[in-house]
Amino acid sequence: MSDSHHPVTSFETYRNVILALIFLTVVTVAIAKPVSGFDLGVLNGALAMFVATLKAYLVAAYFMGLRFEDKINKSILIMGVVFLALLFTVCMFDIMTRVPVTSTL
Amino acid sequence: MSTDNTAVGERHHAHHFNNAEHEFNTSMFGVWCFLLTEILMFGGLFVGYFIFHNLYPDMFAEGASHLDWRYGATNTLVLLMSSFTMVLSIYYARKNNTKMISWCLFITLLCAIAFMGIKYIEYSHKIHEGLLPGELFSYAHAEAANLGLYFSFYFMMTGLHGSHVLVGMGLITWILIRARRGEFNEHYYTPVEGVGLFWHLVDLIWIYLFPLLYLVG
Repeated sequence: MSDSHHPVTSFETYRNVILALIFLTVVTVAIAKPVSGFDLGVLNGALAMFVATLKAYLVAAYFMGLRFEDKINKSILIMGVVFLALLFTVCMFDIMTRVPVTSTL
Repeated sequence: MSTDNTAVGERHHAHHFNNAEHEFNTSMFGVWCFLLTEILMFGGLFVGYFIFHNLYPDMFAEGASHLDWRYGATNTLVLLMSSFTMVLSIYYARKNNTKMISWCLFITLLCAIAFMGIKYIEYSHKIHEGLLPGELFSYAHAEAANLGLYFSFYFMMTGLHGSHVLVGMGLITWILIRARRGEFNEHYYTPVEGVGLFWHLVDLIWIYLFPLLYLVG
């Protein structure tokens, strides 16, 4: 058997996920400043990334099947995200703490 | 590559695996390792994007104003639908519905073609206006001095993503041909699942690309 350990996910589940994804796409556009003028300053970007991550979770968990799969595949994805976060954090610490040097020549 | 199917029960598997399930799980593990490398590759570009967006927020807003969010939103919906039809093809494989496997794969392919069509329209417009990457930037009415940097990111990230869509289209065509030959069923659908995972990753990347490139204000 190709995968006797997990049952076939129902059509209804997939349908609900795609409807949620379409809804979240509408939300993404609605909270964007160039589209609706919705302006929370710095929070705009954070909100947009939060909604994007929600959509990404739905795709990964249901369409890619991670919710029902062995932990090893979930770990691989999470590992990628963790190392990216590490790369990003360390780079931002570097950039944000740079002091501009003014030449005296 | 083991493509022989026994009609009933356990399908044939390569001799170095314990059983068919072992072979399937190994294939999936391999695909996930590959997806990890893809996440890190695109991730590097995203990190570069975040750094320069933080350094030049107004320039990035100006760059985004040259993009039409309606094209981006349409492409997002197109790719999400293609992910839906892609996962349905696996669903129908597990239900032994050969006809629906082919139909779902075909619609996935159509969505991919639509995506590239919209990309072509967008790229043509940018090329026409001189909104090009790096040294090729020749747009006359830029406010920010380094607006070309935004379009370097735009073309690099959407270009790399677009090339992945093209590769995905080739892979989907390959398994569509195999599906029409009746090669997939509840006991064997490994290539469909593998290509599906790659296709979902392409969708995932676009889910992040869309707000970061189109919706910056």
